[in-house]
Amino acid sequence: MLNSNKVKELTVASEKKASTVSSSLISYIIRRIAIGLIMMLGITLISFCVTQLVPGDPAAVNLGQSAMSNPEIVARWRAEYGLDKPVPEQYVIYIKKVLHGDLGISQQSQRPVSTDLGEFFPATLEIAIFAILISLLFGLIFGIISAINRDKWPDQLIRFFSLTGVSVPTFWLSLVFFYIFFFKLRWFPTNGRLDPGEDAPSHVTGIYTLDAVLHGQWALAWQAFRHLALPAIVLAIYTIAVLTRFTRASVLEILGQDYVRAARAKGLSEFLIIKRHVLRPALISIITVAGVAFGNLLSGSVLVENVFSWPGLGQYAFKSAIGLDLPGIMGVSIVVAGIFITINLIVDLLYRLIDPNMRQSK
Amino acid sequence: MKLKDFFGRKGIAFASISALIFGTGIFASASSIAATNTTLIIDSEFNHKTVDPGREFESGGNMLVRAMYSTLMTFKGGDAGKPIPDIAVSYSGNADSTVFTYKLRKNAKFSDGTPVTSKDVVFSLMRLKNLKGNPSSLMDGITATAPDAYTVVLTSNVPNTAIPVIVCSPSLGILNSKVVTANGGYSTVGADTKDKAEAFLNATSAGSGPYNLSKFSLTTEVVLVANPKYWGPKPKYTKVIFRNVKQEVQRLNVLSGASNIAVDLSPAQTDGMSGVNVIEGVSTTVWFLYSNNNPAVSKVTSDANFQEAVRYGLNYADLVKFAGRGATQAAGIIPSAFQGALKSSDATVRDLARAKAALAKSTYANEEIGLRYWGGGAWEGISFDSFATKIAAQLGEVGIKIKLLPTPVGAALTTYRDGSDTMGLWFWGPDWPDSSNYSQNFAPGLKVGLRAGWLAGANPTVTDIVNKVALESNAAKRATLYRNFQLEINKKSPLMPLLQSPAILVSTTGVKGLAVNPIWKINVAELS
Repeated sequence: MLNSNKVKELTVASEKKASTVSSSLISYIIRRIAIGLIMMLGITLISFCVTQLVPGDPAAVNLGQSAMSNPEIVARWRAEYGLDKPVPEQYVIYIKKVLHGDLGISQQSQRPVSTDLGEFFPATLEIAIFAILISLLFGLIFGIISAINRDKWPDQLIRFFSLTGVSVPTFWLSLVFFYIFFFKLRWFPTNGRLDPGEDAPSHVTGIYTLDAVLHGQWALAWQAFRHLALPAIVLAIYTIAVLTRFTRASVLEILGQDYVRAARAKGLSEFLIIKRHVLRPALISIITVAGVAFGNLLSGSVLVENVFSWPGLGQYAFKSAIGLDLPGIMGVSIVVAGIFITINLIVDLLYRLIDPNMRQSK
Repeated sequence: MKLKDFFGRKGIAFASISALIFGTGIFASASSIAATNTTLIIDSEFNHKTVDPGREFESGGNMLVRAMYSTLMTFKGGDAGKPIPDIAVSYSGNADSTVFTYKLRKNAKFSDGTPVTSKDVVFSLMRLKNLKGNPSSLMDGITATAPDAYTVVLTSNVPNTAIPVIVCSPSLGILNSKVVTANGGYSTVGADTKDKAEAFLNATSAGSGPYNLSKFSLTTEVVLVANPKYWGPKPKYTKVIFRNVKQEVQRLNVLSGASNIAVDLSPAQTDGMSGVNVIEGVSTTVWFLYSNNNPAVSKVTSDANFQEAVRYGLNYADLVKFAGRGATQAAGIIPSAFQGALKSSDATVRDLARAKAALAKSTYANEEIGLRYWGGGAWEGISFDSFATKIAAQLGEVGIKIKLLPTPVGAALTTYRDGSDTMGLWFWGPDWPDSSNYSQNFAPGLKVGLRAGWLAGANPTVTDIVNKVALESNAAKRATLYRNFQLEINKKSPLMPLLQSPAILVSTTGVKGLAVNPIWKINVAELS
């Protein structure tokens, strides 16, 4: 039996350890954020330089034929967007503005880039969240079923579909799904985030389903959800396929470990073996893939957004690039860089939650 | 192993709930689609950047602004040659086409009920000029004055026979000067820096047209509602929703009735469509090829024999077929809808023997000649890549090796506009619907001429015609001069007019009175 002093010592040691882990976690997060900010600065520099290297005159894209032949109009336009200054000076001015929260004015929309991003990013976030949830659910289930039925028909069937999912071009798939599920079957509404002429819910997050729920507009939330479903499913198909294949591989690898065989020998049910001894270690690598996939969903949904008239970040990036809209391109670069840096940080933190060994390590 | 053994009851229950959620979403009935008798849904690929009349200059912007703002004169249906009264009931011009006087109707009102007066017209037109924006060139050399409350006088520095059609442009839409001024609008010199009314005008219309702006977006949808104070005939549709929809999806939407009108379909996309109305017209967009006339850019392409080889080596009939139903060969650089347009019998016809003979006489030595165009671009259903490939194949039959140079639009426009490309494939849509827009651009030393290396003095005959037509106020004589101008271009120039794009609108059968207008595509107020 432990005496009270011993208990006290153990308690103090435990608190000290917890405090050390906690402060080490905080310093880790701070370090990662600092590195992330430096990386974002580097990304802005690279994006800026690459944009300058692209041949072409933004004025030529944004001004009409007649306006381009009027030097006064061209000069005024260049001055308005700061393009009349030397390139290094343009970059310094840009960074100073960014540090003050000003991402500049988009040459395409002629609105502050931050306003544009505030409108477009939540639309992409909404579709990406829904897509990743679908992907995780089905990717994990299919991957596990496939692994535990290795080389049997369920495995063959799932592998066939996952290979197809990885191989089919998203643009084509979008059109086919739209044709079948909207045009032929009428299961889903047409393109757009809401029905034609419908007013969006008052802005809280910019995620319509959530905003509508927050305002108690249940019918609108349901409408937004139904508009969201088809593009999200199309977007999820590739990710489901990737996660299925990855889960299958990870589970198969772990199923061959000695401790899994030992668990079986102990007579544990297959469900408990998978739940306790297989899924947890497999999750570490699955989370990495899911994190990257989520980043890709956020930054690479342009084709789906195009077909479904989804006013998201992908469409904005595409239009900015075509229009040589430097502030727009830079704004998107910063957001996408921020997404990947944040996701990587979250994934690393999740490692620590899942894997006790990593939690102990500094 | 059974699923139940593996997942357990919780797992099965979780999967069932998930399936239920997604299943409910999937099998939900389709949305309340499309149109009622009073709501119209129009699908197009958005290209507008604003609905401030003084700043907009895109085809999509024209369609929207046309519905919200009256102009001095306008066009009816698909016509773009004969101005008819709008805010002005009549106009007259002086002999040398430097002064035009417009008499305004007295019953016209803005959407807030205040009367439209000459003060508003002068404000709007001078604001457009002094904003120095994209469409400001329409007011180049023109000044608006108001001798009384219902008379407006437009005075041009130089003879300008195009003023009667220029005033039909939606960019010259009449703004409520009091409202716009109160919201940061300026019309005087310095408006380019002082005017801050664009944001206001993108949220609230201040016009006297049949519709008011209800909702504005550059990316999703624009909603217009009928203006209760409109002074003209009430439009049939009380609400018009313009949606930004991809071309491929527009087809399915209009077929299913989820929209009433699809704006951007190509002829091929309308093949096999049934249960809808397909309205065909010819666009005023003229596609042309040029062979740079500047020896400093290329000794080969500037060679008149080489240019002749290209001109007669092209199979125009085949190009028209490629462009699809509704396309026509451009007999000259001026589109068929405008004054002085050439007849189809004047069009160049392929003569392979003549082309080969001319090539043999030229300085061409079997080298590759670069042809620049907007890579990946398309306009009015015609893909630049396919078009350029077709041209390269046809010129290959003559013996000319073309090196295709697909280039992103920004870069392609830059080299096109600085005149440094050896050959180029482009199109021209008129800044204003009049032949003068062509004589003022497609001549030696002028805008497009310079882009094609056609320097001043390169063809004195063309220059002489251009100078004469600028001063000629007699319509019949102008028409003759425009014809001669084009015939000379077809005979000896670096420019080869190719074709006029098809213009197609598809609507559900309930939509009546739809016509393709070359300037604003659709006038929604005309629909019945």
